[in-house]
Amino acid sequence: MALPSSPPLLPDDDLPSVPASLSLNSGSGVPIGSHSRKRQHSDFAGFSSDPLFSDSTEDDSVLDVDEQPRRKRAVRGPWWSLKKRGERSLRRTMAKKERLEVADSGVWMGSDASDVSIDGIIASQQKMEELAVEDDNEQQLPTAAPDAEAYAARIIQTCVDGGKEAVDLSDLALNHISNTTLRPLHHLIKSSFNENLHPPSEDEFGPLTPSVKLYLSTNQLTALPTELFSLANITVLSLRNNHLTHLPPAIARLIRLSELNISGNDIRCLPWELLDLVHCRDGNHRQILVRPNPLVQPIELSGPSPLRGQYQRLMKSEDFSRFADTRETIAKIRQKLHEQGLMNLRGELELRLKLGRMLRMQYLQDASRSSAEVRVCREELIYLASSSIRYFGVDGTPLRRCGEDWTASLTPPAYAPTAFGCDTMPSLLELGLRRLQAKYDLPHLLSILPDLNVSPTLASAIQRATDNAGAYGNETCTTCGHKYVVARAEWVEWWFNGYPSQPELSAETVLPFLRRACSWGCARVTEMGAFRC
Amino acid sequence: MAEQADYVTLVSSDGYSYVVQRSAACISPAIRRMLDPANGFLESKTGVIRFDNFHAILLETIVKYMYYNEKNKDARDIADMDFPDSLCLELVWAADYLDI
Ligand SMILES: [Zn+2]
Repeated sequence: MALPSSPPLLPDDDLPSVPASLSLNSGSGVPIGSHSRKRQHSDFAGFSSDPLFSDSTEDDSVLDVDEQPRRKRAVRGPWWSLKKRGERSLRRTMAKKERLEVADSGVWMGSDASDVSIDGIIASQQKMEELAVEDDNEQQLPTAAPDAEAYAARIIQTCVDGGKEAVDLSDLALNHISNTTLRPLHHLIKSSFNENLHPPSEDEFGPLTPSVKLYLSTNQLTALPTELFSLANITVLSLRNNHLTHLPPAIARLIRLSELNISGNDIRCLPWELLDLVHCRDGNHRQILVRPNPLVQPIELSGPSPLRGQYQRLMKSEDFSRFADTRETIAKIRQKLHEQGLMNLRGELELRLKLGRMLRMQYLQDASRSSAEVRVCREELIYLASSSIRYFGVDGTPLRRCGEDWTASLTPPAYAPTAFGCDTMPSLLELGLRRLQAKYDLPHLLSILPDLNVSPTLASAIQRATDNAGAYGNETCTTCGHKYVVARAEWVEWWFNGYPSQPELSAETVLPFLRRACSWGCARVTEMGAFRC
Repeated sequence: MAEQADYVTLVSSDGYSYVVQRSAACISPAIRRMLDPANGFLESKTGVIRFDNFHAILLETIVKYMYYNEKNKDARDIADMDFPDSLCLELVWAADYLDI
């Protein structure tokens, strides 16, 4: 299979990069190197005094380690006062928006955003009419990419009109698909009921709900429209063979999904939320095809486990009675393997798999003893390891420079920043950004932002708030479940997803999930031995 | 190192002073640096910080947040601190400035 050759991008890469000229202060002709070391002083241009001494070496030595990569521009005077014109027009727009919200409220409540959808339908009908002139033959596939989306819109309209649940948009050379194109799918109703002459009775509404099967495979999509994740009736979604670099956490909103195929993309990490889909709580096993994708592995997993042949021998020598503590037993075995020089990273991961399996079995035995009805998935889902945690400042800037690569970190975290104050409370900046989302016309604020003399890091935080408000909404903390604008920490967790018959780890059974958290206090990795059942 | 007082004074652009517990003010890394004698800022000796960009209402809200944060240091799931909508933009800017 031909995998796309472009290097994978992290989700954050779409933030605007900071122009070098903006990150430095104006003034002296000091070379950049020493300038950036001195910037601590100029950051405090608004404070009342200059430092008593300004020796740059002295200065350098007292910098907090966690402040190193941060670069802020000195702001001379508050930015809202610098551009009165900009602010006035912002206020005007805000007032206008507030009026609009009041006027809209009645219209939007009753129907499910129907006016927007009608726009979508009209637009796609226009596209169809345009196409009808040149394309009489239904079977003929388009060869040119520019019309691909219009063609997709036409297929969607045909499916909606005919009540056809399988929407096949595969192999259309689509490199983009918009919300407008997908929106008519909200109106898809099962065909058998379309044909009925009488209106559906109360108990017929259930089966009236369609099971939309959406095939977007073998296109050139690099991003997915937000509308896709509001199509709650999607049961089958194929994104196979595209150029996706990540899957949005919003995938978890497709609660009726029974089949998901994301193979053949450029995805390195799965969203944490996908773990909920992989985990079949209710006995409804979902078929989720992830591979091939350039998934990050905790360590090299090829080759045999160092525990092979050793584990059973050590297990037998261990006094493993029914009342022995499983974690203690594993700890003893770990110690013995260490003494024999057999322990390495791979061995540690294998041992954690064993621990998770034993705890899972105990849980299932306890459950069956208490005669509770347990519906068990044949697949195991067992936590293996986490990467080290990347921490971010209040504006989302990494506290430390970090590479692109994630690898497992099996020792306790070497570095965690100290929070002075409450480490789970939203920052004041976060509270302000949320309020901006609720009360301000953010796209307009963004449009005048270049005139407002704000620091590039603040600008990107406002950009994020705007993007979230206009797309999936704010993300959810994977620890506490609260919504946030600026993530304060992220890390990768690797989970085993395979069958009990697979004795050892392999690249095919380990999945990486990207976790993000609202605060430093919420940056807590899963406990060793954890499993989902 | 000289013993430092338990309170610091934050002064707004329009001359209002807020006497704040040092530990509460120090949730801001920027203020922490200002007050660290090793950095040699005058503020670390006087314990008085002037904010030429923060008017009194803005500074008062910031001080309120500092106390709110300090007070709930070990609490979980507490309600977010409230503030007037009109302060929103300035507060975002000030919070970024103070790193809080
Ligand atoms: Zn959280």
